[in-house]
Amino acid sequence: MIIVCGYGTVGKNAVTELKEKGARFVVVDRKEIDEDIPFVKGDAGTEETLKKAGIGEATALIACTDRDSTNALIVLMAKTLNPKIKALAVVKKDESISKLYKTGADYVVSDAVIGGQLLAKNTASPYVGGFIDRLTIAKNVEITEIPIPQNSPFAGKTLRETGIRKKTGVSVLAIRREDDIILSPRRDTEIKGGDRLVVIGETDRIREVFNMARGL
Amino acid sequence: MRLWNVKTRIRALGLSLMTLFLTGVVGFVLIKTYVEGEHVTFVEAMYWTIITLTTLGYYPPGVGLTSDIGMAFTILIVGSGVIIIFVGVPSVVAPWFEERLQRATKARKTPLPEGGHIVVVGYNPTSRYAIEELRHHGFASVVVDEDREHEQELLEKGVPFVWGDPTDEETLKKARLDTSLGLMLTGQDDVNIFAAITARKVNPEVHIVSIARDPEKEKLLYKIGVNKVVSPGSFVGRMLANRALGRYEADIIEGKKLLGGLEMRQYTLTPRSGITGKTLAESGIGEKTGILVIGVWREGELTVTPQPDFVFKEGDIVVIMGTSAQMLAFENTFGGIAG
Repeated sequence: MIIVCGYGTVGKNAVTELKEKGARFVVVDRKEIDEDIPFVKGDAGTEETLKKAGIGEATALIACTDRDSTNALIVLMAKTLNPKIKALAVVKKDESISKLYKTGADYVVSDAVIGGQLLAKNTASPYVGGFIDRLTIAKNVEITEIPIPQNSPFAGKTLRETGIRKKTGVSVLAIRREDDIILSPRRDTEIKGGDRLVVIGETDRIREVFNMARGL
Repeated sequence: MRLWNVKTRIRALGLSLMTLFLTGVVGFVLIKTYVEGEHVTFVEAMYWTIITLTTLGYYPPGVGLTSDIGMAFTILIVGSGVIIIFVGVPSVVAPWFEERLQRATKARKTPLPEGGHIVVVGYNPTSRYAIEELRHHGFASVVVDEDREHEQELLEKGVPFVWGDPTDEETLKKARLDTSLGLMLTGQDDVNIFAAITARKVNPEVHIVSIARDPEKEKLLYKIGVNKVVSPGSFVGRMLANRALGRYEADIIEGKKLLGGLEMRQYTLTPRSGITGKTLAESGIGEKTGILVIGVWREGELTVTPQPDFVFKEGDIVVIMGTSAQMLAFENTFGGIAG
């Protein structure tokens, strides 16, 4: 379950995305919202509100109120109540980035940085920008991780031998092996049980690779 | 090493000279009156102090100090004067000249490029990143803003600045929008909309990219002819949601290298490109460089991760992914492909 704190532009779009992905979530905001979604009214920086929202069983929290200091407080409180939670936050000022990381956030992003990057990408390399749009907006292309079970038919084979690319058109960008990562692996790289393949391709075809990896 | 800046030094020098001068005047009067028992005038006191401080050392009759205490006092003032003047003055004059010279030789404006630049409307945290990123890709920017607050910062960064209302035709012309490669609008939504309308009048062909602070303004910006609208607010929302679900798209959007090392680039194929007319397998891109072709744009259509038998055509825009080393290998092997 994911807790979204703050229902502004960022919060609303996070919710849209979570709905599309079929993820469970709850929104926390100080003001009442007129939408029929799981909602807790209150100050997300307080123990009471976070507990009401189910912080104990939440896997992740997105702090996206419009104040950096509020977001810092939310992350701090969330991490105190549930140290295992993945805390993500958005900030307005760049100098807040390091401060938010100090409160224990796992991932902090500044909308000024994102805006700048998006503008530059779409000016300097519009087709890379277009590709990113397909990844994030059109949704028919994705980058995702595929776990390889120990008894997978892929285990012990090289990338070429698995036939992933030939049969599905999906490309392997990297192999995660324990704490290591092999970027752009060669075709003769051997896959081991327990590896995680990071792949790029069309969503439907990636699903096929998931099944192939499990021997289905 | 600079202990103090020039201004502080000048002040310190002035202050110590003043103190020494007053000490001299007061000391002279006291010693002359109470020790040597002579009558003195204020002018005599000043005269004595200046003659002593400047080490001229010539005293008309009746002005010099002749008692032991008086002569000791004279030595003290001469000594202090020498130290302050010979140490203090050079430490002020040289840096002061230096600063003057620097100011005189430094151009007060960064010259505008003739063309091929990007006109950036608004200077703020967002455009600061965008300009940095553009520079990284080899594009020059010219900033237009009606606020002069950041003029000095831009000057130091060597980014040309045009001061004026970005919704004014004259201002955009001054920024050489007519010969520019593109216009980037990073201001408030109303300014962006009005600037885009103005820009279309000045240069109907220019590629316009705009930010929409409020995602609802997106369609308005498209309607008036902006080529691409980005709305960071909605992007960040989607990206954080994906992150929360453990997905990777976020890394690329953020401009970071994916998984800590992979980056994306685009290349346009010309008739001279070595791979035009070949299949992906024949091109040998993968074997020679390790680069992955993750997409090909052709007439607005995107083919994702093309198959080995995919045939490259002139005008195709190829999106590739790989590490920096692989990118370098790619450029070396397929140089001249770029566009």
